[in-house]
Amino acid sequence: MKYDEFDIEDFLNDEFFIQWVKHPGDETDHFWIKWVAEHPEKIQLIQKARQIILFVDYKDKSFLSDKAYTDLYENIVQKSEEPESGKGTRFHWSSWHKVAAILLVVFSSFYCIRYFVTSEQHPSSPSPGIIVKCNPAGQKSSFKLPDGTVVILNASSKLEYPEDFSSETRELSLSGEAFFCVKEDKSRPFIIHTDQDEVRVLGTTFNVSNHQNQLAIALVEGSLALKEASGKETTIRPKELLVKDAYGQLRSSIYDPVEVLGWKDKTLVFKDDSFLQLVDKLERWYGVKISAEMELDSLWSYSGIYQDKSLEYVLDGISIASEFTYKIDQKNITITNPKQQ
Amino acid sequence: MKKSQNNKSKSTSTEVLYMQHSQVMVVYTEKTDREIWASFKEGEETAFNFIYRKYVGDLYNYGMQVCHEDEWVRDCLQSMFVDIRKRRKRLGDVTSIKGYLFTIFHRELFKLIKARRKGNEPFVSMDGGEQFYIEASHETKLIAEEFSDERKKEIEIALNQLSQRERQAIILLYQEDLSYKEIAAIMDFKEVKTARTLVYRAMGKLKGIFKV
Repeated sequence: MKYDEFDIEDFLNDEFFIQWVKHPGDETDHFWIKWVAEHPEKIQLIQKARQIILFVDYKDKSFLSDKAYTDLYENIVQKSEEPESGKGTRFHWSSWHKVAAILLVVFSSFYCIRYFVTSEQHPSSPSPGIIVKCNPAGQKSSFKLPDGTVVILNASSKLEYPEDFSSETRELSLSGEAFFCVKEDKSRPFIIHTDQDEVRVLGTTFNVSNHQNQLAIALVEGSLALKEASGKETTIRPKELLVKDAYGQLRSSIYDPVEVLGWKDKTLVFKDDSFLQLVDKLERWYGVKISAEMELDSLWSYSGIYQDKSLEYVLDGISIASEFTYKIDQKNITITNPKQQ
Repeated sequence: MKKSQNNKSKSTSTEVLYMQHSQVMVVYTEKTDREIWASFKEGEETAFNFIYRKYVGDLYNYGMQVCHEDEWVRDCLQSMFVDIRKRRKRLGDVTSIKGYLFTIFHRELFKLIKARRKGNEPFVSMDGGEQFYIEASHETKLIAEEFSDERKKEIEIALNQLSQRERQAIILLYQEDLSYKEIAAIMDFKEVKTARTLVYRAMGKLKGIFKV
């Protein structure tokens, strides 16, 4: 049957016509505009058929919530990486809970980054009875404290603690970032000193972070208190992240576990990071020096998650979205934008 | 930061999860489905991300038309995507990603429904004609001068009097922009012409109302 013999149901049934109505393009336009011009008597019919095709929509449309959308994606990626059978060697929260409490402390500033870059990585003993664990950029370590508490110390971080804790308290000092699985001992509070403040573990699971003169404490489970130099104590609730900024202001929010705790499972996370934040993270993570020779859009930001990947791999990944070129010369990386050369 | 022209950057794992919408969409919108699918099969994570972003909403809505069980639909989407990711190297070429996903999703969803219905879980019948109801699209609502409210109502009622299978085929054809070939695969027809005939007869029944 030819188009000039078509009735409305024929047009409504014709894929080439439907394609033109829904997605007019050069190919369909070329044909149909000419055809309509040659068949002016059919214009009304064509109009009616068009209207019906464009009319049809779902009455009850269902939408995935933003949370379901993200959760589903995460589950898909995670599940598809699991082996078909057998147990993986993944980190199990539950088994950690049994030990006692989990604590992550992060404290770092430009000062201590510079300090660690120049300092020796080998533990040194400034005074008898004090153990110093110090990681340079690009190196993480894990060990046990005398009381059985497990520590994962991030790169560019230093932890000092006594060979033996006293009978009253367990006190240590940290700069940089560490994840603690604190052995429960209600008679001896676990206290972490950062440069001005102290974090008191009250037999719980939590996470503390201080970055660029900003202290942040994230509690996983239980209860926790921040004691400031002024003596003021602030309690932190589970899933809460308490931030003390460079001006001493406190504010709290809910945190993203992957973003905050990911590093201990070798997960490098960028979340809407500015170029400076990105460079800072890469330098500490891989122990490299990055210099950029270009101008950047002030709105530039990058988000991505890398699970145990090489520096080259991460740089390649970031390149998907950007027009940068990079050069690796041992520990020095130069980033340029060829368009600005 | 392209290292060199011939070193193709490849990303795997969850790293692209938080990539900005524009970062992923721009790379692939100009490409054909065949090219996107080939990238996905090669393990290019951004290609999967694009596919997920582009189709998961439509698939979810489609699933909800079929079974109204939010959890089942999400479970089914998850197992389907996990499955194609695990088998990605062994998958064939695909010229219409949407048609392919709708086909396997529809099949998997029916399997899942069948398995879960064994118990006494409440479930809205799939064959009872309660799904795929049609309403005037947003575009139609905007063209007020062409369509009076009564006219819209009239067409809506007419379309919703069609059988569930007819409505389903019409929605897949007009709303989801799928071809008869794809509709036949989704609705499990042996021949493409069955899908064509289904729509033709349905439209024929309503021609009197349409031509007013």
